[in-house]
Amino acid sequence: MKRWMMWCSTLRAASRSVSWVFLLAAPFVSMQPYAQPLPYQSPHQTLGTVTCASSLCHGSVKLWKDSNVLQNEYLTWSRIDKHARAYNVLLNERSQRIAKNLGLSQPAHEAKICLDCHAHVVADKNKGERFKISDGVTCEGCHGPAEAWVRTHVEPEGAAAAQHAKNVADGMYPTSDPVARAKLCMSCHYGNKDKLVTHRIMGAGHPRMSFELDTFTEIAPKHFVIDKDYSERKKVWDGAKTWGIGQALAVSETMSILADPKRGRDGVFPELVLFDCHACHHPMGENRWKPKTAFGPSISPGLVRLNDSSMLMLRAIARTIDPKLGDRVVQQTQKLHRAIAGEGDAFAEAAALKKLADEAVPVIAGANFSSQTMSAVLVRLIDDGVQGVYSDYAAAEQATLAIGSVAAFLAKQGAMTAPQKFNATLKKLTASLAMDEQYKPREFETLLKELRSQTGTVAATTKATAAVAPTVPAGAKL
Amino acid sequence: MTPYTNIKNSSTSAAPRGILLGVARLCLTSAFACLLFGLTGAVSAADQAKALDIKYTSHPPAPERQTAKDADKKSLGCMSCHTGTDRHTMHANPGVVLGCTDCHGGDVSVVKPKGAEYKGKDDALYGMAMSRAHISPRFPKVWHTPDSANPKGSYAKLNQESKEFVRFINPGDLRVAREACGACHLETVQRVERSLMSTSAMLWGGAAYNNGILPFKRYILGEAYSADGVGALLKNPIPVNEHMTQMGILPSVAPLPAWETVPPGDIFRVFERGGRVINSGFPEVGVPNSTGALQRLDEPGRPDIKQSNRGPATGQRIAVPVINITKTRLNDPHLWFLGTNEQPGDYRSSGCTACHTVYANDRDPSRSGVYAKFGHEGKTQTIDPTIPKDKSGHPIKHEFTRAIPSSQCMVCHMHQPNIFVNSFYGATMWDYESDAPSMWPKKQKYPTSDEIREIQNRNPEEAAIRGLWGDPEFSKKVSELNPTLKDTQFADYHGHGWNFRYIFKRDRKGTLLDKDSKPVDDKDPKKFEKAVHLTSIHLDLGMHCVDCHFVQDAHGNGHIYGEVAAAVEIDCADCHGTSNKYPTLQTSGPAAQPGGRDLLTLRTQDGRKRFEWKEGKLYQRSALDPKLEWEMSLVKDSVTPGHPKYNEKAARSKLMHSGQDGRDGKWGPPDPNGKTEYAHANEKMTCYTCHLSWTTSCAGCHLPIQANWKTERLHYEGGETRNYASYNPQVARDDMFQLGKHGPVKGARVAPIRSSSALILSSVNSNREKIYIQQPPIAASGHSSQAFAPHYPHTERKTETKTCTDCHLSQANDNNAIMAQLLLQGTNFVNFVGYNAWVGSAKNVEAVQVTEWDEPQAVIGSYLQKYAYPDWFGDHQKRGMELPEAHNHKTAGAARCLTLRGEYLFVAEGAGGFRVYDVANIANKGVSQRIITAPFSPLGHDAHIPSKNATCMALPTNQPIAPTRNVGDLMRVTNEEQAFHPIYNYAFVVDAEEGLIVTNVNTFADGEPRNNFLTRATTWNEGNVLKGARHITLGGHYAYIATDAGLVILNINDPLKPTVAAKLSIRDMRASALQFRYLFATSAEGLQVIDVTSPEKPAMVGTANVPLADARGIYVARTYAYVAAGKDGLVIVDIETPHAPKELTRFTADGKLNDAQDVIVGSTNASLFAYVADGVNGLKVIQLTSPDSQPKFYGFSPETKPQLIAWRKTVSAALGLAKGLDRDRAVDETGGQIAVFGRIGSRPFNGDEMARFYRNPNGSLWTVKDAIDRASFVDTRPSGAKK
Repeated sequence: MKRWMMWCSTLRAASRSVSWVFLLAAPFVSMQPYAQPLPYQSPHQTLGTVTCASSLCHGSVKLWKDSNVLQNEYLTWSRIDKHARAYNVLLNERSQRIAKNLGLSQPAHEAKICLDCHAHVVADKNKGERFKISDGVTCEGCHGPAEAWVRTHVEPEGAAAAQHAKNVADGMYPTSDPVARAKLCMSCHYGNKDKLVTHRIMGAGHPRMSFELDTFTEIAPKHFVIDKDYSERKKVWDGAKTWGIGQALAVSETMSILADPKRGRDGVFPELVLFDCHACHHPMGENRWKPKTAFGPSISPGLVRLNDSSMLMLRAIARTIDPKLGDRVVQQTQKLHRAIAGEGDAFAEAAALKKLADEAVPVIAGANFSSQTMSAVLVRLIDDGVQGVYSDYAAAEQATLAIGSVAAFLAKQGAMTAPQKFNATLKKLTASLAMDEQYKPREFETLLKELRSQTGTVAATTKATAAVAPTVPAGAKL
Repeated sequence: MTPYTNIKNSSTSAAPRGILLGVARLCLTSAFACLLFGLTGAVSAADQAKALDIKYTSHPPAPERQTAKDADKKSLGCMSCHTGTDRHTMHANPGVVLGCTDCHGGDVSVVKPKGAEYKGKDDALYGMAMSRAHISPRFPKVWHTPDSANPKGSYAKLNQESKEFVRFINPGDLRVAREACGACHLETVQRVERSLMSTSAMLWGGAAYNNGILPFKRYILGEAYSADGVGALLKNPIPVNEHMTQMGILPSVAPLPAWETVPPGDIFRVFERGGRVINSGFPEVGVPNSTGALQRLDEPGRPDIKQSNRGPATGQRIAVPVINITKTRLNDPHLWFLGTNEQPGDYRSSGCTACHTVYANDRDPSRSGVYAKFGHEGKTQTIDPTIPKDKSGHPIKHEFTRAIPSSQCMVCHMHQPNIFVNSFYGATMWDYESDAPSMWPKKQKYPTSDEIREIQNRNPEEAAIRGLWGDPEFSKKVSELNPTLKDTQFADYHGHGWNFRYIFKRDRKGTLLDKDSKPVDDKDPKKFEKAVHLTSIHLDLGMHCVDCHFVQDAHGNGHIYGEVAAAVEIDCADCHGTSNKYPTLQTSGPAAQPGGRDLLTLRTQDGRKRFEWKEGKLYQRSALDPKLEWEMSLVKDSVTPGHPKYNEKAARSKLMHSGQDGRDGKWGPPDPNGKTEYAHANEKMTCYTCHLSWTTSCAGCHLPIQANWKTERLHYEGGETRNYASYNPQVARDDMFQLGKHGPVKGARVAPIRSSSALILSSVNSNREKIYIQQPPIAASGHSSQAFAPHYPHTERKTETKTCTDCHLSQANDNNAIMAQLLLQGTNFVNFVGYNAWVGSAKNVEAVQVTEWDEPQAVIGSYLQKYAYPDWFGDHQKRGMELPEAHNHKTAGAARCLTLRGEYLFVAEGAGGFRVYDVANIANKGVSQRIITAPFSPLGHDAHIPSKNATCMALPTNQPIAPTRNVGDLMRVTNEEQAFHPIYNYAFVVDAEEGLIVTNVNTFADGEPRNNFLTRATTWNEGNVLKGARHITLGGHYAYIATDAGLVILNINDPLKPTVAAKLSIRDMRASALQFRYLFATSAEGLQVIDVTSPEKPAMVGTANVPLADARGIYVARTYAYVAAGKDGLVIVDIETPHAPKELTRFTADGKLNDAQDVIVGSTNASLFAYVADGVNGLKVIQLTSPDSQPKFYGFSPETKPQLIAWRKTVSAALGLAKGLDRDRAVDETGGQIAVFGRIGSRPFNGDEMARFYRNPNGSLWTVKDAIDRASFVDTRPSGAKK
């Protein structure tokens, strides 16, 4: 764990030096983020990892000085990216048990329901001669099937920016765009219309999932460096914004599931995976209910609470960058909560919230994320917690990831007075989340208070001496 | 500092100027080397004259990147005829963007004319377009333009073509690969240029060193060419520091000098100074005065056998092995040339294409994998309509692959014919004997010169000119004979035209064994299905070479190496781990880059991960077969009690404790502190020391050179010159298991040692005079050239591995011969008795011709002669089996003890004292007196020591050596050679009256004819202890002397100051023979056995006595003692358990053999022969085993079935015989090295190391048994871990 945090902090430090680039870049929103089909939906052929993995392509042991990418991406993926082992997980005893518990007719490593996320599943006609399902979540699983662009993406350097656009036009998936990326990552890490880790799958033994776009982008791990040629070819997005967009899209995705009469329900119950696990999964003798204030007081004891962690995050962002939008998020979320509690049409409210979240995406993307703004977001995130908003583990987890992301952004801007101190407390905060079932809201609040005293947000002119490591709870899993 | 470096920007000097500079530099360091570097400007004869004068236009190099559109333009015209191709860019990766002319050049603007269809090359319209589009060669006949197939045997002809043409036919050729492949793979191209697969440095260097031609064990020769086909000097990309030198990296390798200019390394008499010119004896090159008019004025009386009247490297005063390298197809062609494309197993291209484009070479899937179905005749499956499908010499497809079958590797790794890929296949070179009736013509063949040349151009073995397999149509179907065969099974690959036989599991007596080690009957028609074929276990899994030898082992790491073992990246433990560590899957061999290669990131051609851990198990995917994977054996699992893969036998050997505990047999897992030390730990010995099922040994190879053959040079400038040397394996065995120390590059660990090319050389001049015959050269280190080398046999098995009693004294004491073999002391079994048997008689010494001169050198009257030379065999029978030819010289007394070493016969001749005869011309028809006391006046040569009654003599070795060469820093420091023990300077003579006479005999190995005089270095007979001395046997620095009083053992550690080590009373001891711990003596009692484990404390083995009325000479070969027993003839005694010898047979040849005085035994091809000095009856030749008499003839020591096959009455009573050349003896009993070891720093065990295999520190013995003794298991693990 410790090593892993150091890894993240290294990556953060590496990207700090280029922060000026995106400060100068004009706000830009991908106009057609949804136009690109996700890689598994692509009509093109997937050629197979080996095509990319050549030592003269992306499998080089040495970094190339004269290339606009590192060229060792395959090795990074293969050695330390868990996506490379996603398929192998299906071979372990736990996966086989889950498949059995679910009554699947095939073992986990052959069942589509499992492979959908643990591998890059494409239609038979789109399998190239060297395609291997056993490679798990592969190069083309994220960057899109290469058939249509493999020949052209190696063409001589011309207009570099145009080249990337051409690749995308030819079917390369635009992972550098946070919206597209969020959609891609969340297709598995949250679920989408084709795939979802349902409560049944969880019940069969699937481990708990958590996700936050910015953090997970960093720890994937990143196999690219944002440098001059990167910014020439692609738009550079800062982490905090990625986080914000990720949260809005998370709300949108959750709501679209909730609003879907098929996916959102499971028999007489709603799809329980959308709800807070610990609302139910705690010893009956332990009564830790406490009124939830963030979205109104209407949540009563005994009510199964929606997992609203991303909504809480969206609320914090929206209230800071666009108070009006913030108010609407609060109101709509309240409405949803009430509807779930029986006071209204939950499907309609969910649909409305989805719409609102979608609306928030370009607002966040276009907002000016100054250090003042983000300081305010940070304070808000902490204050919310101090006020007991993160009574659910999922919320506390997201908040901690968020605090990490935002603090890292501020530290990069030199907008934190004592980042090391802050970081130390953040570590403690993270440690308190090590076991989801032993989460103690009070203890978390106390630590947040300590953190609050260390925010000391000042003007951007103050120079920071060190970066703050982004922090995620120990339980976070890919 | 590390040997690995970034080589992308390194310099390679590939221009002729580079050579000169390099040579100049070398000259500074060695005056000797300077002599060698005159590259001759010989012109290729006939073909050169026909060269077309073509102006070539260079095509630009392939671009690293281009737009798809630009690339497509470069294929347009080509594809108007080549309308379809298998893979447009050869690469499976569509990310590679190339057009046809990017790689091949040619004129893309030429489009197929309207209406023209290919109807053969006579179609004028089409043909004209083709010749405009294609690039023409300078020598269209050589390339049979416009046919697309690779020509047969093109060798150096690539060097005479323009680089444009070379690029056209093969863009991957190393001359031009930088322009095509180099666009992306420049670094790899450079690595390959410097790799051993291109330079052949290991072969050239080894041949030069082991044959005394160059004294540099850090080799200086290697093959490389510039783009124009000019020989080039290769330099290492970075300067070589001390550490890199230790890792075996060389600073540079220079081109091979022309053979005509290389002085002989040999000390043969014909190479000595002086001599008259023999006009017709000269090759026609480099002789300014070919009529020899001046030389004719020389005074008469000068010996005319010397090969030049000028200096070294003139006339035929040259190094024969260099002719062999230059002209005889052995190792070559390598990557600089195309395959010879003429026989199954010979089809391939050159350079990068040589490996990455697969040709059909073998029909067996275990060797050809998925390509087996395409046959073995080099025919294509391409969809390109212009390529003929029925013509050999085309790749299977226009496609690159990394899925390279072993059959592709085998095209080059055919040589040496007995090792590596062959042994991986469980095969070794056929010996001309097994199933001879199916392989030799019924009627003896008398090949014409044309036939001989035609066959020898393909196949260097001379036997092929007489055998059926000289016809490629026969040889390609040899494996189809298998169901009808009786003694062996043949493989289905025949590169070089050779035949390979499979090795089967046998016990030591040669009985076939099945997988449960149960005997398989020799008459069982399914015996070869039941007996275990000893392939590598890896092969059995479906593995190919490329499943272990990955990208670097194939391409090299960019440094120049001289030894293959140093250039290897992979190590067993990388994939199997060790007893205490799971594999890291990072390569760790000597040539691995720091940290190694991460094998987990490798992928197969079809896209799978090559290695993958799944739930605690490790899997590997076949590089060839997309459907094949296997679970890896992990050593740690096999030694962990309770693990499902636990194997008690493996655990015992791997966890055998070291030190006294181990000698007591204690074994078990490490104690909790991890302090347990293991006897067989990975740091001490290589895995394959035990995990081999058999090792191959080529205990003999004959290279006869013939001046009259005008043949092509296969390298450099090509062209023809006179002289050719064929290549004739004599004894390729699979039953010799020997150990020694690997060099420091391999951690100086214990490793298997093989006999590696024990050469003997002969030469026939232009008058067909045999100017020297069957002479072993001497290595540059002065050691015998009967070379040995540590090696990795690639015969790994799980069950058929080596076990305790293969290396340590067995409790049953039945492995004395095995130990002698193991420690390289020799077993006297594969000894070489060549053309002549050397007989000492009452009044003469005599050479009796016992074999054919032609190849195979069948013993006259033998099984082999019957099949290889049926006419001559018939003639022999008609003569009543009498041998027709012999030569003798009178002696001054009875010659009972004699030794042939080199061209000299060392004789103790009673009252005549000790004399060394010059027998250099024993087979020279131009010399009337074949055995002489001196080639000139006794004033100039007197090799004689008079004494009162010289009864016997012994040399420390009968292998030619030259201790005087083994001196100085070059040998001691740079070459890491061991010094000779001082005994090797001397001959030891016993005189019944004078005692021991010691004389320095180095003069016969110094190449200087003017100092051949002998003097007594010492005469010793302290206290008359040697009174009546009559026989001497040497065993290291101990001499075992038979005297009136019995056995006297002298310690001759200081040869000039012998001391008595021990005395043992034996009644009328007559002779003795030594094998490892035992001395076998003949006496008035018969055969007696003496334990000489400690020569200072010999002990009569009380129980061991085979009573014989008149036991005389004795010879011990493996598990049999052969006693010349007077009227009882030849008595063969089973001494497998030396303390309980058993008489096996008495052979008198129906009473014809009735005065046996002495006996020797030797091997010729697969058979064993005894030669008996049968007193008044003369010489008798006895075939001891033959495929007819003993189907178990491939065993370590099959039961002998003596048959008299030939005889000759000697001029006086035959009393003694010279032992055949030792071919498995590298070291003496006290640790003195005799034979040269390839690989820097490698050597046989010294005396202490040998003792550790079986002796406690106090000198007592410890023994082992193969059955597992549970009581010896020591479990020191915490109780929780025990199960």
